[in-house]
Amino acid sequence: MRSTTLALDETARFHSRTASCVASVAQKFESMICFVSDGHMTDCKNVIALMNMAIPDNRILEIVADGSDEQTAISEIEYIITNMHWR
Amino acid sequence: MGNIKKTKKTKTSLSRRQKQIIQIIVQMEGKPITVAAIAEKLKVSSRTILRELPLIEDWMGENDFTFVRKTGVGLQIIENAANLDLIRELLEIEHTTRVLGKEERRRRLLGELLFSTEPAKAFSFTSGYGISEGTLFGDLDYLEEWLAKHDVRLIRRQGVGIFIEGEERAIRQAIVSAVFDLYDINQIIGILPIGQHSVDLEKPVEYPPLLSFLKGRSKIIAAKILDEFKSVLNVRFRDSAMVGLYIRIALAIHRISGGNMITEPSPDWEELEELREYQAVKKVQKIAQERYDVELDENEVLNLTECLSSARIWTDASFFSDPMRAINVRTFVASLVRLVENISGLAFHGNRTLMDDLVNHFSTIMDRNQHDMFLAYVQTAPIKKNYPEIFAAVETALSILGDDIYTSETMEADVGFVTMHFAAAAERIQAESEKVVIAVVCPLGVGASRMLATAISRSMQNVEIRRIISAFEISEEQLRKDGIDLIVSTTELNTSFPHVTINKILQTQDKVKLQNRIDEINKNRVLSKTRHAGGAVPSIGLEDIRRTSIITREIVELIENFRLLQLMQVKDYADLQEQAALLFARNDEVKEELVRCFQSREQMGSTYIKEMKIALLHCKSDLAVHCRFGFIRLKQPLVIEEGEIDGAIVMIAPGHLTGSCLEPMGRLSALLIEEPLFLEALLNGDTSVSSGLAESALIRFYTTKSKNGL
Repeated sequence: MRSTTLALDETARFHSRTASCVASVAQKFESMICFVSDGHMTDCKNVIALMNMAIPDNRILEIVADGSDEQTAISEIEYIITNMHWR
Repeated sequence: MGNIKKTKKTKTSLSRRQKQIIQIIVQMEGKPITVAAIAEKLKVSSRTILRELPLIEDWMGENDFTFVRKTGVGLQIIENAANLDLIRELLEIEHTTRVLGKEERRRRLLGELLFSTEPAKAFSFTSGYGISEGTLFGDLDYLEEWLAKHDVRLIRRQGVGIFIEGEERAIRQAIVSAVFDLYDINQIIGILPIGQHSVDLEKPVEYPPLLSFLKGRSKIIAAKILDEFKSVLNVRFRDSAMVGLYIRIALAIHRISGGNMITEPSPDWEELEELREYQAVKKVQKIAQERYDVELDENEVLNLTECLSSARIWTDASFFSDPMRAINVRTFVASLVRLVENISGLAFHGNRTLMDDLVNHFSTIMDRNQHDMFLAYVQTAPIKKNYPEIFAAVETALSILGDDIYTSETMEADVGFVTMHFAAAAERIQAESEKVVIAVVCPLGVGASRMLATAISRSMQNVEIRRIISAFEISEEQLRKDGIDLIVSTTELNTSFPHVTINKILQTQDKVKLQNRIDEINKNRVLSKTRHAGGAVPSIGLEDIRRTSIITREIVELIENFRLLQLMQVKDYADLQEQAALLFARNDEVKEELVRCFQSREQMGSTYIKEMKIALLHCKSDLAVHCRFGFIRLKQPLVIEEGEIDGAIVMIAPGHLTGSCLEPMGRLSALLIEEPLFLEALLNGDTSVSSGLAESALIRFYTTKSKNGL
């Protein structure tokens, strides 16, 4: 299992397009991938869960992946999140 | 062009005729053959053969074959039998790799023409693409027509060659249009910085001729300059605008560095100079020169201003930024929500987040030039599978309402997106209203179960652990009686009651598994009944308090200064504007200013709402201190070209207010659509009812906002 922590620059919820982008990419991987924020977990492959995910006040988001392709999974998801200005 | 091709390409490729010539020479097994003899065999003139020879020589040289041209003797390949076989093999390989489809060939042809610096010879195309002259002329006719639409002329002149002619501005516009017309948006994104990572990591980036300007330096500088714009203007851009801007900036940099400047100032330069974007470009102009050594002259500055202003800056959820459009979108969204409710039988009304999300979504959809790159990511299949009822309802509703917005393809893709919003709303409503009741089963004893139960309740929201039972005690009847929704067990259970098996120590996978199961239960519930309740109170900072106080103040100002004026009639639209200004003006100076603001707003597009027979006079002015909302009722309708005006909404906002501070005002214009009684009361001149409705709407707005944080 691997994880990485990101600081977000926005507090808003995920835009539907960001959510579907994350879900589409996450679904390519065999690994279990989720966001952990404020002790709550959100499955990255579930687009609706992503849309309803509350971004915590401290804006800290942890990406956790577990599986054979966890390394690539984390770096790809991280890439999308850090390039969120495309939302 | 022949020369250019040679230097540009690392490997010479052969046309069909060149291959035929080589084959004939190879057949001679080392003996020479005259050009005339080859011409005879191929039924073409000697000149034609001679013209092909330089490329053949190149090809031979590249492959290290000895090719000899002797005057009076002929052409000769001096190689042994094995190498002659190798040549035949190479010709075969060339044959299979060089076939391009018509579309792709035309794109490349257009790319080469648009970016070439000198006239190209027809034969360099016929040989480069391995096509006949007839095919080439067919392609050129097609491209000529296409280019003419963009004021660019394709010139074919005997003895000179093929080239394009037009103003630099027109050529750039043609290139941008070509990029968007001829390439799939995903191909473009594949080359932009974001695409590489998220779309395909392994594939190396390949630049087709039309997109060659994105190579190397201009690509990186364009990204940096775009970032500068974003920080100077303090805005975000819509997705499609982003791609468009990126392409335009990169192209400008490429053309400028190639010495192709825009020489004529933009015909709209006077208006452009007044825009906020112009100042931003001016600032970036300095940065571009100092940091990236890109010199932007005045015409280029105007050009970029034009690009930026047409990119439609997208400030976040500012209802006031264009109330006309917002009203249209909101009307549409309101009817969509009602229709989906009717079809699906689920209750969504009064769900503000859903409304706002959809308004946001459709504002981008209704924008012109929608190349929505994210459509590629739409999760249609899983959404359709998990929310079939909502999906079907949205599909039907959009097919009824969406005619004006969509083409058939975008509609199909967008049903997925819109369903996502409804599904998310349904999930939210459910999650907020009810907890999933869990019974924990653990054969290892109650102590271990209790540990697990604590771990679950600590890491899961919206669950209630009502019972801890032994695996032997499971009675479905009793569980139902206790209101249990789900059994969480550490061993496999043989029961038809909903259950999920997880590890004794709650691990990440278990949490996800459990959460998914809980979501599933919630979803099934939401489909049977939909309720809603308030959310949790988030923590806030000083900035939030400041904003809250502004919003609260504006709410009070709006309620206290709500005006409804009744007039017998007005002379014309200008008179109406003047009356509107008088409604709130403190003195003549303010009145003049407001009239001017209304007029300049009017120039940007009509403010008449045909469906409601009202005018929406709104503006932002630095002379206004607080938000104002009023209505002018005309007893005798004003007849204008588009129709009759029964009244006018007057909305004035202070220039310094932005973003969420304008929301109270937005709430009132939203009320016009969501509450038919409000408009009715205004049109009937009923002050007490209309001001009462406005007041209660604003108070409702205040309470929901203060519950969720303003």
